[in-house]
Amino acid sequence: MRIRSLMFAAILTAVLLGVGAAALVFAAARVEEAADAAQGRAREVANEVTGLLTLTQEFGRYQEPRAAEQWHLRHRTIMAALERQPGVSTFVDSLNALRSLAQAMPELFSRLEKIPSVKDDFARRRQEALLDQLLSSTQSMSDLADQWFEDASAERRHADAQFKTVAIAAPIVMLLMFVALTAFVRHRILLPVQRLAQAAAAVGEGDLGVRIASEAADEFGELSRRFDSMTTALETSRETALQAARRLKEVTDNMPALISYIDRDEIYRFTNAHYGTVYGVDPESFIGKTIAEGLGAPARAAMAPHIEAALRGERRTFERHGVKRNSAEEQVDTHLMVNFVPDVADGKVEGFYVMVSDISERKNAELAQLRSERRLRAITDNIPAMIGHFDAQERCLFANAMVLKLNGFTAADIPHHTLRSGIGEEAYALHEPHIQAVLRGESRTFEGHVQRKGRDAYFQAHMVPDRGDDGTPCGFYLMSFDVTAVRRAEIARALGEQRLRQITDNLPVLIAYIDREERFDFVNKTYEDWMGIDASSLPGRRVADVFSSEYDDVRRESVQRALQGERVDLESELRTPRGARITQTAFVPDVDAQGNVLGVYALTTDVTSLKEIERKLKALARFDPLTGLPNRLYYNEKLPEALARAHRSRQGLALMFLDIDRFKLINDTLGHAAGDAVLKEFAHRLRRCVRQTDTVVRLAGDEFVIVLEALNSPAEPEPVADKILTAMRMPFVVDGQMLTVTTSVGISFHDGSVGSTTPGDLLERADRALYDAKSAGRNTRRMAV
Amino acid sequence: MSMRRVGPGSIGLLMLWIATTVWGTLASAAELKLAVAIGPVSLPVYVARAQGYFRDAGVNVDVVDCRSGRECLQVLERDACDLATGAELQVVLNSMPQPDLAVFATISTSQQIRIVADRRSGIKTPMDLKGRRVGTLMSTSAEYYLDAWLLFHDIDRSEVRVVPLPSDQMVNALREHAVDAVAIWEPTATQAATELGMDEARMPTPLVYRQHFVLIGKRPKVAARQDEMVRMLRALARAGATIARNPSTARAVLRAKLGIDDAQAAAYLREHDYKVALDQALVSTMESQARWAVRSGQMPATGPPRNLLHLIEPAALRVAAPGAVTLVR
Repeated sequence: MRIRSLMFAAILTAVLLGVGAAALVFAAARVEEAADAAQGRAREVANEVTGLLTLTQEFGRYQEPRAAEQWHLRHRTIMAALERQPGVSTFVDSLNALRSLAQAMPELFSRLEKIPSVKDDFARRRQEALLDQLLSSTQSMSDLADQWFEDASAERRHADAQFKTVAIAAPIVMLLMFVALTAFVRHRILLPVQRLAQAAAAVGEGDLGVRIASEAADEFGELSRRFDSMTTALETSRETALQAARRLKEVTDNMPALISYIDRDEIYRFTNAHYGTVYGVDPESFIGKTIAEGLGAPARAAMAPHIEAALRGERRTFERHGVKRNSAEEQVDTHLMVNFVPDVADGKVEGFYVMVSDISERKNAELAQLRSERRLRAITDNIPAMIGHFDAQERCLFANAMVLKLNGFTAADIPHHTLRSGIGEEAYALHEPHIQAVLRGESRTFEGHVQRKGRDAYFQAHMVPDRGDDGTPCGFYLMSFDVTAVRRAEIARALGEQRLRQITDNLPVLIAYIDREERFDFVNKTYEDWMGIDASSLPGRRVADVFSSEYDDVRRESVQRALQGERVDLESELRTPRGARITQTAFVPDVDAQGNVLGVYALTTDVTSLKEIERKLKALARFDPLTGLPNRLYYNEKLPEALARAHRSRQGLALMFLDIDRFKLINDTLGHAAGDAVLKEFAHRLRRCVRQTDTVVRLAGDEFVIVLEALNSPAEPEPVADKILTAMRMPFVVDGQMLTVTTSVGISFHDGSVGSTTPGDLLERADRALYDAKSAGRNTRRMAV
Repeated sequence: MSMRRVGPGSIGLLMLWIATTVWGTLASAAELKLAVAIGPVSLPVYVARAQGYFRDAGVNVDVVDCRSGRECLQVLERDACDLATGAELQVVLNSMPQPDLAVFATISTSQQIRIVADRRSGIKTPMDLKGRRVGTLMSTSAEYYLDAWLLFHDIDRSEVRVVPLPSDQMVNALREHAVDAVAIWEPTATQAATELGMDEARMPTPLVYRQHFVLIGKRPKVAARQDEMVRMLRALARAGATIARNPSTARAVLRAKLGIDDAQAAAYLREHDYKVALDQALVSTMESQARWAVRSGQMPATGPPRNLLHLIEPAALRVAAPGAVTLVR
């Protein structure tokens, strides 16, 4: 709480206590006074009631009018005494009760007065009752008066006690208040003032760190906090100023420049650390020296005009050569930029600030950039292309030597040209559609054709946006190549390709070029004729996708082998909309000069006709023209196959070797024609004796072989042999003559088990069995053992 | 206890209060059974009970309701209770058969008995009661009042047909014209007047009897429990002070007990003096009643003790509330 409030509260409390004590004393006095008065009245009423009681008893005993008169007189006195209001409300109840009783009594007394002196029993009882009630009521009044007196006495005692209490308590309370107030003044005023005075003295001596740090919520607390805030602010300001000076020193010390302040007497007042770096001495050593003493008289003389100008208040900036020590402690030449900034206060020059920057690197960079530009111009001038740089309004900013040469411009003409004026209307019309795109940030490349000096000229232009610092296009670069020679060569090559295509398209051969990814790169029109496919749709598509069913493993393997550099010839069947064809394809690798396979030429010819002829020739070679039976060549091809089937099926195979008995005699006697007729009939009968699946072969002359397959036992060939013997016993009719022709049969059997049995073994065993049959008299059969 | 006296010596009084409370709590193991006649006359008992004054005083009081003081005396006679409330007349009438009876304190004084007459019976003035049927509760202060009232109005009791009636049948008897008037105390008197409404013939209420409603007990029994008696009287005296200083509280208690409205309760408070006391008028009244009892044949001619002061035992009240006893004994 604030001291002002506390003081006010203390004074108010003291006043209230004083007033309260006075009020209590006054009230107690009033009560005491009222109690005194009540006591007096109660005593007065009690006395009167006592008298009334006596008069009532007296009247009851003697019925004298005198007593009655006195009773009424005394009763009126009592009523008069009771009419007055009590000073204290405490007594109201007693007073009211007294009044009530007193008011009721005259009626009783009047009735009593009216009772005749000569009485019967009823009258006596009545008198007795009224008298009793009067006496009781009077007694009650007496009791109430006593009670009233008692109450008044108690009230007086209470007031007296209250007065004494106030009389004793008031000085004690005032004393306590004084003590409390003294302690309060010491604690809340004197001590804070003392602390404040001590702190102020400390600040006066320069100690800004002193703080009172009071947490009190009163005026001294507030004053202390303001004092603390003030000292804190002072300390902060001092620290800030020192820090600013340190920072300034630190900044200047770390700047790659000589910074100093020179007063109007040309004496150094401040130098940064860089002085130490440049001059190899303590920077502080400059302080107090003149310019001539610090830098030497020649340097002072060289800068004299600028120094004088600065001291006149002019700002000067100039360059000069100087020397400095490099990292190897060597003296090296430097380019310096010197700034003199006058220090003007109230219109008067106090001195000037000096900042000397080493601009050697900048100078070197400028030279380097100049050299770089020269190199760039040399490059662009030697590129066989026109190179130009244009701004967003298409004004020419740069053009290389080729531009100048081809257009007959000089370097001075460049700023006066735009793209349109530079390249002419015809070429500009080709460039114009691309300009807006390039200025939107897109790069464009396009080719064009113009007439130059009456000849066709082809160019390829590249337009690249020139972006400003913010990344948005602010112009463009144009580089234009003359591609006339290339284009003419391309045209010539295209004409050559066209001729070749016409040739290949008209050849009855499928010609294709397949690249390394097994895609068609070229197909001739024959593909359309043979395969019903649009040839122009094939380039770029994978072979496997176009001929999903035809491009089987064999063809794919052939292509892949060719891609490895091997020429592969493949004969295969090709299904076309017109039917199956036998084709012969040559996969020829396309190898470049370095030996790399670039792709594969696939040359497919239709050999269906040749194959048919070949098949027919093969059939002719395998059949006997006389009998129509297969010959030995066929036998040699088929017996191994039959033997292999027997092995696979595990079923028996029999070989019958037979000849015509005494056929030489027929030839000798009847001639070769008759012999041929016998052979034809013999072959015919043999065919009829065997199954369709059995093979009958004429080996040579009259020797025949029958191969029986799918046999279950060695006994199965014997009935077939018997059937043949029987069939041959029928006479042969040759040229009208009846001839008896018999045959002998030798049989060998193979049970189908895998072993070393060869076709030769079988024939040899059958031959030996035939010999046995011959030996047995012919026209019989024998089984090889 | 006056609140104004709780001031400078508050700490001492606080300690006294604590000591009294603790002692009272410890001493409250035994119980005083009190038979109380229902009516505004017993208000100090109701207030002491409702406000917890008995508990504060350290006495455990069990209250039994009775329809009249006479009934309460019967309960006391049967030793079914320790103390009873009733009119002083009951002590006078029973002093011979029960010589141990004594009055220990007056808990209220009033003129609460009155005559309620039925205008339909042709009654307009007291004299009209002659020859009429007047119901009352016999051998009670109501009968005593009726006799005193008749004498006051110059009417011999023999000229009136007194009809004995229990108090709870008075209203019904009036309603059914079984009687023409009743002499009875509150609250029955008000109930009877309410029943009659505009038909009530208002009778005068002269000061023929100021009833002392007293606390009655058997002397030996009370002497053996003097301490509890003192505590109980303190509680009743405190209740009397509360009724005087805080009548709204007293009215609330009375309303709750008798089921009456606030105006009726306020009227009862005006008609009664609830100061717990023992004064000289009590003796005068009892002596008058003794003579009436002998005269009306309710007591033998030998009568009550010559000095009825002996029927009053002020010792306990002198301890409990010294200023309340103005009796000269």
